[in-house]
Amino acid sequence: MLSSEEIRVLGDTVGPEWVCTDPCMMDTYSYYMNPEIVNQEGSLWLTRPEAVVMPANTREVSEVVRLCNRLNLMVKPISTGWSATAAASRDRVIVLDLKRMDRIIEIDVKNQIAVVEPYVKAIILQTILWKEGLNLHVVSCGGNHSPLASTTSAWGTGLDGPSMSYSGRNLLGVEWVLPTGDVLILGSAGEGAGWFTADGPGPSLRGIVRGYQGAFGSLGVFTKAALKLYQWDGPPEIEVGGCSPHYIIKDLPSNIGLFMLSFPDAKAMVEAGYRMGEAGINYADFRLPAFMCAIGSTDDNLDLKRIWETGLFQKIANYIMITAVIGYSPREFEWKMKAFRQILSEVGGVNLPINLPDNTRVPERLLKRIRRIVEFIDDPLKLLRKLPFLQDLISRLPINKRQRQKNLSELFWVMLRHANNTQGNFRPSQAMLTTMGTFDTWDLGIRQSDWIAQKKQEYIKKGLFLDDGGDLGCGGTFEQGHMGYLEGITLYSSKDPRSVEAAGKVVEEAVQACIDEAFGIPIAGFGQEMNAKLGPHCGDYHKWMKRIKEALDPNLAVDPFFYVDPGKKTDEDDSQGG
Amino acid sequence: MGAKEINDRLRAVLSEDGLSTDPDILTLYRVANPIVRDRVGPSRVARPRDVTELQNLVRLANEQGLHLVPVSSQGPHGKGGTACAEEHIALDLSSWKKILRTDRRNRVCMIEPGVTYGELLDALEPLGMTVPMPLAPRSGKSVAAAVMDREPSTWPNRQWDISDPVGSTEFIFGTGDIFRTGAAGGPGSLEKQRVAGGAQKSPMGPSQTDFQRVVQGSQGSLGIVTWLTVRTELRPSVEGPCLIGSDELEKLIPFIYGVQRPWLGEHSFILDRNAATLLMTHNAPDSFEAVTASLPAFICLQNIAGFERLPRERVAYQLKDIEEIAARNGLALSSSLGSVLAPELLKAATRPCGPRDFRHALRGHCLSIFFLSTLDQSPRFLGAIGEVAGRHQIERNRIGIYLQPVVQNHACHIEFMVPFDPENRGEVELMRRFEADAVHELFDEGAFFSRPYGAAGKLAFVRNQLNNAVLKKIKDIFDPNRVLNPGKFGL
Repeated sequence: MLSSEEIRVLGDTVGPEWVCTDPCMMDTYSYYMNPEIVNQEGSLWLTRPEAVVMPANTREVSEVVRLCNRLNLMVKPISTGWSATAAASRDRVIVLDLKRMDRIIEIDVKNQIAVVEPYVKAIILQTILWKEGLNLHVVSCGGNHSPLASTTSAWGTGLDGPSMSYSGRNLLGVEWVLPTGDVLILGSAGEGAGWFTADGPGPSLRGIVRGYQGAFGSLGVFTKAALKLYQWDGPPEIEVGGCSPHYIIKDLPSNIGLFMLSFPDAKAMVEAGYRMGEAGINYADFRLPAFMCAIGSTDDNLDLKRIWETGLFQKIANYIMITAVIGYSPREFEWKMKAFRQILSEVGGVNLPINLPDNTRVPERLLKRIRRIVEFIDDPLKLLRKLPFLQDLISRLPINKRQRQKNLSELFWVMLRHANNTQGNFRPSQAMLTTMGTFDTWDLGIRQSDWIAQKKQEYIKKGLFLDDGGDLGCGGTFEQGHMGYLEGITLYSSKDPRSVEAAGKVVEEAVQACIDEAFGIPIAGFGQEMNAKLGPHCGDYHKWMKRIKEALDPNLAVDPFFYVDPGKKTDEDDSQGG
Repeated sequence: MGAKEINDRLRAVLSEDGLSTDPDILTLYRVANPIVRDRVGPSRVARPRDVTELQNLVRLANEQGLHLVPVSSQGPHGKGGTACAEEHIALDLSSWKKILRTDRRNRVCMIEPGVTYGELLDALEPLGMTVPMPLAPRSGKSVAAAVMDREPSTWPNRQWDISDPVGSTEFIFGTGDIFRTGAAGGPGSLEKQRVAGGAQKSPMGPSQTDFQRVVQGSQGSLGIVTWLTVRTELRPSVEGPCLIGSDELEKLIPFIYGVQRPWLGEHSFILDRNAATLLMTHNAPDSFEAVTASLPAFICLQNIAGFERLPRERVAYQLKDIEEIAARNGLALSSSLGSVLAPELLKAATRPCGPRDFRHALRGHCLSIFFLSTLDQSPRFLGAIGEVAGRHQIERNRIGIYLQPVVQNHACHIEFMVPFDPENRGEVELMRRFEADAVHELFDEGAFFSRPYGAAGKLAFVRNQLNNAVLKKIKDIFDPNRVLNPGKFGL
């Protein structure tokens, strides 16, 4: 517990109304995604911070960090928060909630750069950028996330990866309150030359800021970030009708195509990813597993159960990629669509007509019939696959216009506005976790996805995980097919201790598989414990990180848990590299 | 320890002929740039045969307090990256020439540090691939040296991040520790990673640090690259390069923004008539005046290409889209301007230029001042350099200008070239004064010397003192005994 004097000096820095120690408020900063897995005893609650402090600007952040150096406190900065990485890890940690720092500092339209504070949300920035013909990369947790956080401090995969890369690669500048409280601006902005590069002069400290993952606030506080923006050839805004959960968009401009592609097998899906990337066709893509297609098609678990049990999704949606194609001009769109159809034809992919009837509204009796019929058909899309012109023909039929518009809207929200129904993943079982997720090639992504799909079957058979078919491999391609990524999602129950235990176990097994099968550093491959596990298999990188942490944070004033804790000495510390 | 004893120790870790002290050979490793002062030539040249020898050499250097300056390109070494103010050993890796792997599916290759652009292009061509490269590099230029120095390529819309096209790397830190970065960082052997479907293409990590990015731009002062993967691109199967000329730079700039933003076209850059002529006449400098006179003040080369899929249709639609952008800016696309043909300029720009830097052909040497800014700011810098030139009685029309959009035109490499006679002491001294003055002036105007050489080497580290202080901490971690290129950037 903080002393009254400590609370007073913090209040003197940011204003007393911006320092809070109320237990009920502290609890709201202790509950995040997957706490029961992070906590070894399975508790739903993470460590309660000593206080929450809300600075208004960089100067206040710097002063609070300096205070922490003096008062033997630790800072844990958060912006929008999402996973357990937003939580304090121990006593004497104050959470620095950056909600008040929500300004868009600058948008350089010509050079496609936005400078933002930590609590600017992607969806808000995107709304403004579209009016300027610009867009930004948004990570797959959705448009409500902080682009500063994903770009400087966390992961960075998203559906627009083919055209807008990965968060860490979109950082053009950063203002960084170091663990000492000093304020460092990297790159060109640090020289007063503008926010166009974060690298140099000479060696790049941007490499210290983050790697594949960020430091999750363990190396200080990032108070401004310059984001690399991209061309947006869509409309400045979209007219929307309907109501939650189905907002319906009016028709899209003719230079935008949103598609749901079904492939006969994984090989065809992989090939399509490579070929579309090489041709620069896909603006966004995402491998949507069959069970997630079913989730996305329904509003409640009962409907989900009904349509999943028809077996139809398992037959047509095992290898689905949703894809956006956008043309700068009508000519470009036409060329892209020609290449797109050519590739689909080469690999046997089907552009699913989105004006087919909504099977969640089909009467139970008919669903049973569908189930019986589907049992006897190996490939319900065979005809469409053999006769590609039928795909377009059906799509153009003036039938089910409302359904068409609803499906088109879903694709629009997911791929272009990132209004993802992430919570939908929690709906069937109340908890989800994700594993694998190393980053290199599209081939590697699929290989990991296969591994985790098989591994999950053991647990599904025992009734410990929800039976989602096993394969919840989600991800896509990046930078025009140059790189690829897939993570494997598991749906478990946070209320069943046996399920929670199994969830923890599958995470460990997945990390071990990354080691044994040489998949790479997984999505969970960060933080004190995982780095200690993975580091010895990866050139002892954790020892170098420890030295970086020691050099930058001599008084351990910033919570190190999700990076490397220099306080924890290992046997290998004195050996090479340590 | 005496020189003989040091040599004996060095010979003990190197193979036969791995150490040279022959003065004639040492001369080849001196910085071949008369403007660079305080040049201490190497006392020895070490040529380790493999990684084991290299690692042993670095460890010996740590034990004995020796200094190593890595060299991957073949000479002459003109920019000054290998310049070192202290006694040192040139660590020559230019004979490490293996192209370890090419991977058409994942568009990536793995090379050793001595591989040159010509060698790599020849290896990639049969596979239908190529690699983004700097403007007409000299034939001895190491790919690794260029990309680890963040040299700009002429293909801006293929550069997503300023660290591109570097993928994964292996290097030896100043401590002597060997380390792999990016996807190659592990777990598992490279072979096992490939069996799993990986291609060591991602540059990020391992884990929460981009070690490669820290070493990049360090001019050999933090780590020594032993191999790296380089992102490749499909080789165009059809090309329709165009030239757009204007006597006003301000008219070309909106055109470049218009084309680059939607990623139309491929290779793209602006040269002024002097720089274009330097490039086109480096094999026949006598024709310099005639070619220059035939050109407009500024030339933009804009390549348009088709690749493996629907190539002609691609060129056709892109040509129309780019023509429209040109027309909106009061410009027109041409297949030639004066005596320069677009295909020839493209070819000159995208192939090695020969053993000598094309900039040097006219007068024997060339002062190059380069930095980053954004393209829209470039006229300001042209004004500034003109003013400084005037102060030094250097005719403005002696200066060549090269504007290279980088990172999908989020920034711009701006380069001024001033050819001079290296044998003329007065001219060398003039260039020295001019460079010092110009760098100051440009710096004050907002030039960012991301890759600091020459007079920019010190100035670039003056303003952001905290950045320097943190860099020193990083140097302490990766090269605590200051074995690698000591004193570089004041580290």
